[in-house]
Amino acid sequence: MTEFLPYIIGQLISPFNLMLMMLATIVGLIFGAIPGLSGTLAVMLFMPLTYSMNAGSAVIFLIALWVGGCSGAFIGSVLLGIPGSASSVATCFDGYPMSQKGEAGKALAIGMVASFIGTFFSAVLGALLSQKIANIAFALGPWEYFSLCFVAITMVLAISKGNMFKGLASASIGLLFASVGFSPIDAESRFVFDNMYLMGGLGMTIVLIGIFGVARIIEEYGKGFGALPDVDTKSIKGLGITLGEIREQFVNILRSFGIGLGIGFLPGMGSGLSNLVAYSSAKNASKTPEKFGKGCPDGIWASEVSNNAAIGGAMIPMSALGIPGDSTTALLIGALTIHGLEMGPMVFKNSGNVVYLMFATVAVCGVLILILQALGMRVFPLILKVPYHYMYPGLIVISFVSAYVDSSSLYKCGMMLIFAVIGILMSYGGLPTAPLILSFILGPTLESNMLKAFQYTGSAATFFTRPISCVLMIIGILCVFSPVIRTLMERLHNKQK
Amino acid sequence: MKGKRDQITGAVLVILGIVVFLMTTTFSIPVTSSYPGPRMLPDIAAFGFVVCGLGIFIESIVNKKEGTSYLTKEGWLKVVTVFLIIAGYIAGMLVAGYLIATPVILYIMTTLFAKGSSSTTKGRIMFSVLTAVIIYLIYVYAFGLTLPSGLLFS
Repeated sequence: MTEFLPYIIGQLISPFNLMLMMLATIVGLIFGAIPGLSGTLAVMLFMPLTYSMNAGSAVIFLIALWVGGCSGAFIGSVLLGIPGSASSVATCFDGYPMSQKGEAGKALAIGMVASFIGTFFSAVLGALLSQKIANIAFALGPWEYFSLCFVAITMVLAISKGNMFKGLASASIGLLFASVGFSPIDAESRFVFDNMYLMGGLGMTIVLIGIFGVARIIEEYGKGFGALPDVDTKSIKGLGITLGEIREQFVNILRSFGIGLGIGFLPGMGSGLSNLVAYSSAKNASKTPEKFGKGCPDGIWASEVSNNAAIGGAMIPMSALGIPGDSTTALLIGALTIHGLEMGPMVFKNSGNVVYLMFATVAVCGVLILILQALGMRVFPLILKVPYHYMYPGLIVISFVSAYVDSSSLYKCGMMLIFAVIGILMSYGGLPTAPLILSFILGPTLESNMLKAFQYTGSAATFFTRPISCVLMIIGILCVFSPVIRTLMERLHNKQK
Repeated sequence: MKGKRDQITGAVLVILGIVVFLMTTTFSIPVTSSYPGPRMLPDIAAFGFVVCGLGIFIESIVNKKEGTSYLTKEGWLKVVTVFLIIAGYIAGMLVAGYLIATPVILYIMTTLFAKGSSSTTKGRIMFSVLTAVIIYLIYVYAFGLTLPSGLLFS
């Protein structure tokens, strides 16, 4: 790892990269803070900008957007009671009541420090662990990789809000989109309709921005933008937390960090789940659980440490196995492929310098965000006052410019519009988008490994005769049926009562 | 209302599944027990559509959930309007190029989105022109990417 230090330091101190990092962090923070936007959307929208950059600059830019988005999400939760994204839902429970009690400054300060601890230390741990996990991954064959992809998709299904069928339907749409173009290994033309633009498959940019970005903006407009409540800025004075208070939270921080890192590491999961689990654990472990939900700082510490620790956690399987920890890492895997970085165990051999640069960028961004947030505490309310009628048209234009840049063709802009219609229809049907994102991005890996596995042994039984693959397949199958199992268990439990 | 929506979703998914399955039957490499070939992935998707479609359809009949409507008639009208504006934007970029189409479309959209809120015509014009120019400068000059120049000017 140390042999890469000169490269990493060189990249991080280059004026262009420093400027990129600063800019991307601020943009990420803004996207994270504003309800309805997210760091994931920022990564999607600005990904085409990296096409002309070298791999190092692209990594710094995309990671800074992602980390900024994750760290900014608590601002809306604390000041408005509306989470900037799913990763800060639990922060609302105590952050907003604290604001209402006139302790907004303290709640924001806790969010900042907790985000820093989660981000920085998870990046350090991730850098130390990923190479070791990559070494183990060399022993894995296509059976295990197929099973890992399968688990990643099914784990998202298991936590899909609503019902299992809708999550599965969304994942099926992703698989169908991933099938378009020439198939891996056999090069069979699928769903191409003699259209040269479809031969290379559907581009990640147009599918994801269309369904996830443009459709959401248009839907918000159709539903009518709700005016955000006014923010009381009088209570934002200084940091308001001491080292002693941080020491008091040591056990809570450690537990939440472990939860965040662990959930982030699990394929398909991420900060959206970790903050809720860490919050519940903190409440259960507290001597005064009745204070939770009424402005208890412990809740903010738990939520914010865990959601940011999930960043480092998600980067471990992303770099070591090529399997995304959440939707954003799924996007990053796709984006880095464009720069010739094929994530997986071999990446440490081929481009180890860039992988460690990723972890270093997360750590540096953690520090940068802490400084930016500490300096700009009084500016936060202004971020939340950006009028939607200016912001959304701007984002729509950037979306279509990104689609054009992706292929230098307006055809892709038309395709993106079609995907925006699909996004609206999915929303009408109540189908979640996360399973689609994961299955669309993992689809090609899933398929090529499945076909390779069959080429080697000519039998599906091998997926269950190889121990690791078998365990993963069983976990995946259990995840698919987990909502049914859960309902049956609950019914049984109620009957016993 | 939600029940009806789910019934429509379920039915559409089943039909989609059948269509996808029929399309995969035209692939040249067949599925065999020793090698699933290129049909496997889309067939899994088709199977997923049919099973999930039926599941959503049946569940909506059994549960008979009452929910709020997705969008009002006015909301749907707004959605269709924005889609038409964007389609016009793409056509505008094709003919007149980015630098002309973008400020125009930004002004139309900000005016549409600003209905009911306080914003001035001057402010919207300034925002539209500045945003279009800033995006152009960033993409073209800072990152060396190209944006549509338009049939009229190429």
